[in-house]
Amino acid sequence: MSGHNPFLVESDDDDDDREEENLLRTAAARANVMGFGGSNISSSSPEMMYGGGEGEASHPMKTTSSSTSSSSVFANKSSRESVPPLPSAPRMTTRSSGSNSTTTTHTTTTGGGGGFWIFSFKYYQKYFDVDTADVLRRIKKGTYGALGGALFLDDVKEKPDLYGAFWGCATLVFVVAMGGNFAEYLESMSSSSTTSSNRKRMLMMRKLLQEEEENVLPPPAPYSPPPATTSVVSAKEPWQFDVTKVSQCAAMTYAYVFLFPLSLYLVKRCYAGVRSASYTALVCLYGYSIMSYIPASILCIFPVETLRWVAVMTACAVSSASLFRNVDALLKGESGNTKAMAIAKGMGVAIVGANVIFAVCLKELFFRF
Amino acid sequence: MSHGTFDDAPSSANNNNSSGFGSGINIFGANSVRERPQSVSSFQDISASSTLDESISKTFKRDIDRIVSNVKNVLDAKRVFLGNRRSSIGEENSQQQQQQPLRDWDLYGPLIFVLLFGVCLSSSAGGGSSSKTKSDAGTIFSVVFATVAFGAFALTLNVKFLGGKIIFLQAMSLIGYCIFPLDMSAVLCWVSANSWYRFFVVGLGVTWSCGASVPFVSAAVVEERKALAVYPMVLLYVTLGLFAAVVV
Repeated sequence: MSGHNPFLVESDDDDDDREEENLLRTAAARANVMGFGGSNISSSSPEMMYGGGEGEASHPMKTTSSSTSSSSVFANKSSRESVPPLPSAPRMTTRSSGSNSTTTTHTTTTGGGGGFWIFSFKYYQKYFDVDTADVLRRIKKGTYGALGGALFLDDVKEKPDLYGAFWGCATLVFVVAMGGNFAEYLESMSSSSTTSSNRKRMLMMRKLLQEEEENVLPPPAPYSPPPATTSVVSAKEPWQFDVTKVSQCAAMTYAYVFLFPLSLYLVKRCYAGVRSASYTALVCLYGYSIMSYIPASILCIFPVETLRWVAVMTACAVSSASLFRNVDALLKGESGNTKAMAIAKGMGVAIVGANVIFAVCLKELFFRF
Repeated sequence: MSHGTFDDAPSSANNNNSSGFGSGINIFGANSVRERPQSVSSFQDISASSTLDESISKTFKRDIDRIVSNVKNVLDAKRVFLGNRRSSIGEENSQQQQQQPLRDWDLYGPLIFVLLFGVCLSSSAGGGSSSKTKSDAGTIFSVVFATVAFGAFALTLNVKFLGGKIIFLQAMSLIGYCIFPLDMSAVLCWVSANSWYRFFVVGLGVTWSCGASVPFVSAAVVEERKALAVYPMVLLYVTLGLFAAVVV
């Protein structure tokens, strides 16, 4: 089992990938013809160089490359490619793992396409170019990075990754949904357990008898509670797993992590002209910082209300601090940019406020009984 | 019919089959050629008429046989729980055994298992008397089905983005087949509501599912990223297991 990839049946996989490449190549070529601009031209170049080993493909490669050789972007890209465009270029080296095919990632820090078609795998592969050690380090830095040390955004600017954002949110959704349901179950167990309800009933009866002894007059209307409580206890339904928690939490979390940074990015880029951090970097930051809510959600299972609020607010404070520190440093780092300075405070307030709202919604919607 | 075979066939056949769903006729598959003893002029005509003219029961039987054999291969209990034993014959035998579960992948099996899982979970919820309509049968079914379908899709994309060399639909088929132990767990959970029994049964199912699917995925990714590819898979199966334990 060591190292042998059971998915691979040698030639078939190449055929499969080559066919995929053919599709991508034709689509990219068509995009080139339609004049999408310089950046898309190189979309066909790596695949053509590497997949053009067979004779029949080399001619299309040559013609399209000659037609677009006037573009300077193409020339830049070809010089940066480590493998020269020879028909005998080894194919496997470039497609063996994502890390090898990321020669294009160093070209842009603004999160541009890197020249690949947006619906191809290679476009997104550069956003998942992380190892386990990288992810663990980023988790540590993203969650309690406010305490000092290198900034998360500096670390991540070159290679932002969407792995943490996506699977961190998935883990949070899982924990909140299961935890919320389990807490609901504990709550229903404790309130409908026979001993407690019996005790409540006995207390009510004793109070009623005492009142009757003391007052000859019939008790006024305010004493209607005793029958009401017993009816409430008996009408309590058996606990059922609430599946809507999953969908609600997923919608809320993913919207927060993916759409809020979009608005931040738009303000930052279009109003203040700050180009240093891409949208993906901001999503990456938000994704890793939201993981601080995971231990808080686990603590929220305990039916102690104070503990729940303390846990959630601590997580909120930690993640807000991390977010604030990073975005603040990003904006203040733009020395000549007056607009960036102006919005730094406003943006900081918006970030912290949104995080607080998220925390309160998380607590109220899923852990309140 | 959505399936693919990776037998030793001419390369054009591979293109045909690996281009996704293909046609409904497996022209170059070895099975159909062997079945038809008719004497017709061309090679293609022989196999083309064979699968068109056969009775529906034969078609169904062929598909069901494929599903059953895939289940047996992918979820081989001995392999999952006891690990790979190297036989005395040597490497090729074990490699073949490893490749064996994935050679004849199809998407029928996963579809049936996912539907079964959803129906299992939602039927018990709908059948129970509940005035509270927060989670009725329809909601449960849709959430479970969406979780599995989208989860399998996201998992496969995850492995592909991390640089793993897998074939997309084949990996989805594998993930779908590994839902089968959870199906069994869900059905067994019907038997009793005792928490310990349920958690034991579901735990066994989750271990089996993970044990069957994790080796394939981790072998497809480089060493430094194995944990990144394996963790979401475990997350998915644990989620489904918890669904089965609690909702049934």
